[in-house]
Amino acid sequence: MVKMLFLLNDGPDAFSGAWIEALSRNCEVEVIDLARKQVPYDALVDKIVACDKLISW
Amino acid sequence: MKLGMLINTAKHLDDVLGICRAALARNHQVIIFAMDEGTRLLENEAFVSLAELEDVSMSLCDHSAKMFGAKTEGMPPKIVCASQLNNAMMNHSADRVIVL
Amino acid sequence: MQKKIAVLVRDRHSEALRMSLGLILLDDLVDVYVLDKKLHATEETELHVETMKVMDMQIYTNCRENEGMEYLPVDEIARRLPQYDHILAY
Repeated sequence: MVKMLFLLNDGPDAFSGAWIEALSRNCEVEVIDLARKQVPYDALVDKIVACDKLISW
Repeated sequence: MKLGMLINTAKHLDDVLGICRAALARNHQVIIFAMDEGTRLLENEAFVSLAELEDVSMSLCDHSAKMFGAKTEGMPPKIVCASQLNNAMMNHSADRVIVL
Repeated sequence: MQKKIAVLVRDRHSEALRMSLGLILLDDLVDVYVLDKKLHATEETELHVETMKVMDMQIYTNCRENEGMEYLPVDEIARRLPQYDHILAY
């Protein structure tokens, strides 16, 4: 299954939840909220490398 | 890996700096293209200084820079004041593209 | 090798479309998806859309209010997106 990294640049918005849900039907989606600074940058880069597809929302 | 960074806002400077530096520390190449509001970051010394780092290339959309009044004179010569062609080149060669 | 790029037009419609047109300069495949909203009707966006049609670019939308674009439901767009090399939300 395609590994998709979904970055929320500014936190969730009115549409992000629906798109993440829809993408999750075909992909293994990992969501990272950049606004919450929850992942150190080196770990984030590793995730960007490891994923198959990347969306910055 | 070649990481493309499309910078089209001026809101995520910390993320731009952090991700770029972390990617370089992991021996990745970074290609930065600034357009739209992202050209405002050209006024920021830390952002501009990324261009001086080894394995970083940086270009910008001159049209956007003019629209936003971004100062493009006196920039390091490594920063290419260019067009959307440079964005196309970045997307063509990058393995991943992050938009910030 | 040709890259496949999806541009997701979200907020700054005119710039997203201008960028989409620029992305075809190296003969990569660029498809445009206008998401969730009616496209801002300005002189610029109209010109960009016209140019895209001349260049045979595909413009899809999940918003039925967008005339002249191919409607696709959210699930179908979500199914297609993983097929692209880059997905650029703007």
